[in-house]
Amino acid sequence: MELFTFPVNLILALVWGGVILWLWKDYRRLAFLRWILSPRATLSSILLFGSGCLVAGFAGVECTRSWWFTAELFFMMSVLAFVLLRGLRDARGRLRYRFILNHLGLLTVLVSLFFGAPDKDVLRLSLTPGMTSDIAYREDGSMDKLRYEICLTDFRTDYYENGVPEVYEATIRVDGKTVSLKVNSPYAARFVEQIYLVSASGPQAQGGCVLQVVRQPWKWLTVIGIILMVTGAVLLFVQGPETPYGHRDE
Amino acid sequence: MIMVWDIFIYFAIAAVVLYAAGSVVAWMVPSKERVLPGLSGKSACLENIAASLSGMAMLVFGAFIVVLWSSLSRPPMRTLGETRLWYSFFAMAAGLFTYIRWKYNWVLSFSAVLSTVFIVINCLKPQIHDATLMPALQSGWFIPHVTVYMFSYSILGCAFLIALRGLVKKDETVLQSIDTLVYIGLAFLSFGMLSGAVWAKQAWGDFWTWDPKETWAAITWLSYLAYIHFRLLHKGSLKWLCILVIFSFACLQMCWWGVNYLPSAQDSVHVYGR
Repeated sequence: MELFTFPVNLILALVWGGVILWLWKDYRRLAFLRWILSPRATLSSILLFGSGCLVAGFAGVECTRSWWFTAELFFMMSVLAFVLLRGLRDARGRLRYRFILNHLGLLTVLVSLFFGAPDKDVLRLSLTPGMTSDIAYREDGSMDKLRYEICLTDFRTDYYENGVPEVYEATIRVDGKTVSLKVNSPYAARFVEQIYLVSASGPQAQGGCVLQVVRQPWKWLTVIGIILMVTGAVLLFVQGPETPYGHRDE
Repeated sequence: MIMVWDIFIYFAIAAVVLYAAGSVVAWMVPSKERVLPGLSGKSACLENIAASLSGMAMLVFGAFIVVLWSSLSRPPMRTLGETRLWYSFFAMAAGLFTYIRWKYNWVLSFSAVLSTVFIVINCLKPQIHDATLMPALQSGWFIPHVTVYMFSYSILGCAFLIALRGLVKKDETVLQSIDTLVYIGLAFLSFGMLSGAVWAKQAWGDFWTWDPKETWAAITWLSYLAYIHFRLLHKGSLKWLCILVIFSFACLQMCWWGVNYLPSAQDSVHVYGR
């Protein structure tokens, strides 16, 4: 994965996009590209990736890190990109926007997660009240120095009568600011970096808490894709079963 | 809470009886008249009675959910048993919607059976034990995520019933109804999946991690997406399209509760009170 971190992943994404645009512009009459733009390729890409997910559904998450799963996803993304280009040229009428929003949204989400994955960094640090640290660890045990210090000033836990945790709340000082962290309520330390309260450490939280620092530079692209897809889904609901190339029954 | 759960059976029986009565009345509408644009006064009256009885069943069942929610002081959406409550409720709603929209006299009976199956499971195995709500579920996304998913499951449950009928009766006309239901169901399925992704980012730091539940959500979504594309691209016979809708619904059930029994899902972060 390290080989593909920024800027290599960005260059690869731009090359991939450039090749697709170039092929679309100059070579779309080639037999191979005519097949890529055919209904058979669209259905094949969905069914192939769906089958890969089905295998992963039974066999476990390890499959999603395999070369064949990555290849299936890459194939679906490429077909999707070509279909989007054709739709931008051909789709007409009120359903044009639904087509573009759904396809562009899905493509944006997939591209951001696919090419952005190597840049994602997850670090954890365990702190007890009063402790300050700028050293965090990855899952593989490697260490990283943060660009700021985190001081845990307070950690509060409440439990239900049956011992199930009700509230985890950590108060930390970071960048000279006092911040309250809860599960579901992270703190954005940087534009692409967030601090999460993950859990308590030790029995009944006696050992303090575990914080997680997540760097995900491509996340805003994912958010844009999600917004496009949600808008597309609204139109899917409102407009119902019609195609941007005319009504099905015509 | 336990006291509230003790009265569930009364609400459940009242709702099932009302819905079943609505189903019986729906069968009494003459089939020839149902396909005519204008109904006779008697048929229109029977249809209204069927719809009203089904609507009353929903009100009774909905009232129990409100009472339970109030007594728990948290949304009853945490355990499988609680999501089954919502599914039973939305199955009635989806059946009623389909009946009002397309006038299939059998759809109320089918959705009554679907709803009753989950009510009976809840009577035998409630899985509603306490008012606890762990920190990961204390989020503004909790209610919209669960209700939107349950609504889409119910709508797609109706598409499944119609596909079953289409397969048995070899009736091409069912495809139009399936299309509409799958479009609505997929739109809500997409809201559910995307809201889940945003919630996962907020709670755990990533939008998507291929956790078993997420993988099965993707399989279900892709399966219905395949159906829509088969229809858009004019591919597939009635038989295969109906089989695809039935297969998609099986994937949906797997995503909802079946995944909990997979060995690969034992460490899933999405399991809250099996």
